[in-house]
Amino acid sequence: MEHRGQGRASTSKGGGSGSGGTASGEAEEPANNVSFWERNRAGRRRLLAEDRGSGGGILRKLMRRECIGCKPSASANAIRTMCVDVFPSKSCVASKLPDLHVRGFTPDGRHLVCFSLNLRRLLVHRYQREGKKGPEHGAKATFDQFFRPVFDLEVCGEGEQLCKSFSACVHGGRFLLVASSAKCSPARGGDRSPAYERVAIHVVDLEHGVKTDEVVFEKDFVWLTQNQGISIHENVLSVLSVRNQEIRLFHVSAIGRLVKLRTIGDFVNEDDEDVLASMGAGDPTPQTGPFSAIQQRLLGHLVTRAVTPRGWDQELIKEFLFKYRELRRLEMVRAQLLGGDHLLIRFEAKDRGGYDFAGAASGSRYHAVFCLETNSFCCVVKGDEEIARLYRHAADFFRAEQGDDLWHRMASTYMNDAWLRDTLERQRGRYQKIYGSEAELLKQVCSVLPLTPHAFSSSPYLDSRLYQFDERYISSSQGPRPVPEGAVKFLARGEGGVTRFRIDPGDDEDEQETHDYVLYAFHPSYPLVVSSICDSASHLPKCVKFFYR
Amino acid sequence: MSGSSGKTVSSSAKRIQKELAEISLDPPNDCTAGPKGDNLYEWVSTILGPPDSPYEGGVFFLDITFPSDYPFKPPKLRFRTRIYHCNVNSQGEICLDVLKDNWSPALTISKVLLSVVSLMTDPNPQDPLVGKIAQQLLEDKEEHDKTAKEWTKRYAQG
Repeated sequence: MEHRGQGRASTSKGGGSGSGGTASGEAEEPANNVSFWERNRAGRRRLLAEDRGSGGGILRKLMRRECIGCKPSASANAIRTMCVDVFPSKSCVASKLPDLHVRGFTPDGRHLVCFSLNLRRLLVHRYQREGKKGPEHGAKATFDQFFRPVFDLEVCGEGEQLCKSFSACVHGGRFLLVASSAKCSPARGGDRSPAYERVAIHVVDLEHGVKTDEVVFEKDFVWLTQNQGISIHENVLSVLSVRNQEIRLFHVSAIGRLVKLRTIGDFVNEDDEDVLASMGAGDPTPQTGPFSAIQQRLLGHLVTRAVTPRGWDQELIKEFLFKYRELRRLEMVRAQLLGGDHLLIRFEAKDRGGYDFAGAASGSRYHAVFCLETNSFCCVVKGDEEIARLYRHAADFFRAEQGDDLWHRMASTYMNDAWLRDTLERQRGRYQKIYGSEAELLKQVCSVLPLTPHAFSSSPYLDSRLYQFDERYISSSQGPRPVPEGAVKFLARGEGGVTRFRIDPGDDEDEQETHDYVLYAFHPSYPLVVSSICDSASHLPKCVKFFYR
Repeated sequence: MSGSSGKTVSSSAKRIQKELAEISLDPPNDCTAGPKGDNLYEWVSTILGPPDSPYEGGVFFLDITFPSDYPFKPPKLRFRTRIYHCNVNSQGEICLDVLKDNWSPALTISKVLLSVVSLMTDPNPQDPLVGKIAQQLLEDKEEHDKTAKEWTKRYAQG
């Protein structure tokens, strides 16, 4: 993070001196001669052209920063551009496998979150390597040479295990959310999903190393893998309980307590159930009883869409009736908070006691936006095409959970970078080849929606504007990746495709099984990557490697 | 025997098909109805809360089940949306004369739905399913309408 502070300070200084020079140059300029200022202006133009063109190295970039400065609010962007020249150039293998699973860095980069091998303890480390230069390239090193332990904490209760691919931060990295679960029984006929005996989400204070609160879901199913069952927006946490078909919203308070806000599912207002109870209404049977609030509003939205000033739109009504059975089977699978008052919910049709989690039949998949203020749906979209188009043109809106942090906002996306958009559009054919067809490509785009918190790393080395790399093996979205056969090359974009550095998670001495997978932890700002190859059977780390400068 | 039963089924199917064609060509105001998918005997209907009633702004879903000897027996209607109404109970069952003793094969589903809409505008507290609501309607109509409006907003919003 020191990166950013320095960057901003020196940038503004550079900008100031640049403009000062301009003013004095203009004052001294004689009207008819080719003056110093004219030459200087040409120099400035050349400097700009070179910077746009071939890049020209870190020295030139630093000089440019001093002479010209950068546009307001773009200092983070300028620093990120420098990462094309400052990259992890050394690598070494861990001589002794650390007794932990590496999960990843917190978004502020201050902590590295790890779990003990028995998945009972949370181990938090901080990056602090021994010596200035670090271990020699290619040498063996230990985990302790790079990270020092901050605290370790037993968070879960008896018989529970932590989910090693679940962690999220709130309050700007002050509190960490981790989840544990106990005993999973598979889905039987008629069940919505498999059920855990107990799922708990814990809040841990990273400053003090203590657990501050937890929320428990009994006999329930929450998608814990890669944070898929939760969403965070400005310290509001939403958790989707698949079994009960409800979204529970909590506020994470300044002292790390989870304050229950509301529940959306069978009812949408907190007192809906009390009002019914006061009427003495009996418990209705699910087959013939009233629709749940979410179903009522979803179907209601689709029907009211067909109301026109001239009566019913018969085409829409016909479509609604034709799909009625499918619509009745729809259940909430994932949800994401879009800003403070909207929820993006993915519905999928349940098929004989299980979801089509692989997403093979995208026809029975709906995305809908629910307004928490009016308690109604704003839009319902069927299939992938429309939502993929929306995502492509408003990607930053979906990624709002990263907050106002400039560093995160400067990570290039399809939406905020016209150059990248052009390049990807030109490479469309290549992507289609990778994924097989246009429909498959759309499916891949949609499979990440609704987005999960901290799903994307803001590391400049994973920024597709700066580097080009094989996204099959390493990508800015977290998750296990296949082990590459050789090293993954990182080519600097726009600089003639020069290979800047390579990441080879494998150790030359070890033979990798085909089903092994790699997990990467990229530091959000430093040139530091930790890779760990995990065994496909035991899921234990087999080879840990560090990439640093 | 099987032949005669088959004949009954096909005649009821013909009649339902005819009614479906009628309701599609000339749908009544504020309601729609049609089969759920491909089963002709299982329909779903939507009624928009009639204007100037406390149910205005709500979308009410009803399940309609036709008996195999339709139109000699009345269809079964059931609300799938919660409604604060003295003639509809918490299970969604409706107390309406044309669905019981006053049924006539000359009635069609379109007419039945219109009767349901008029029942929503003018509830019948003399023949209630939920006594508490009927009593409230007779004693304090203003309070009844207020509660019905609140229920519509809570449970029947589209």
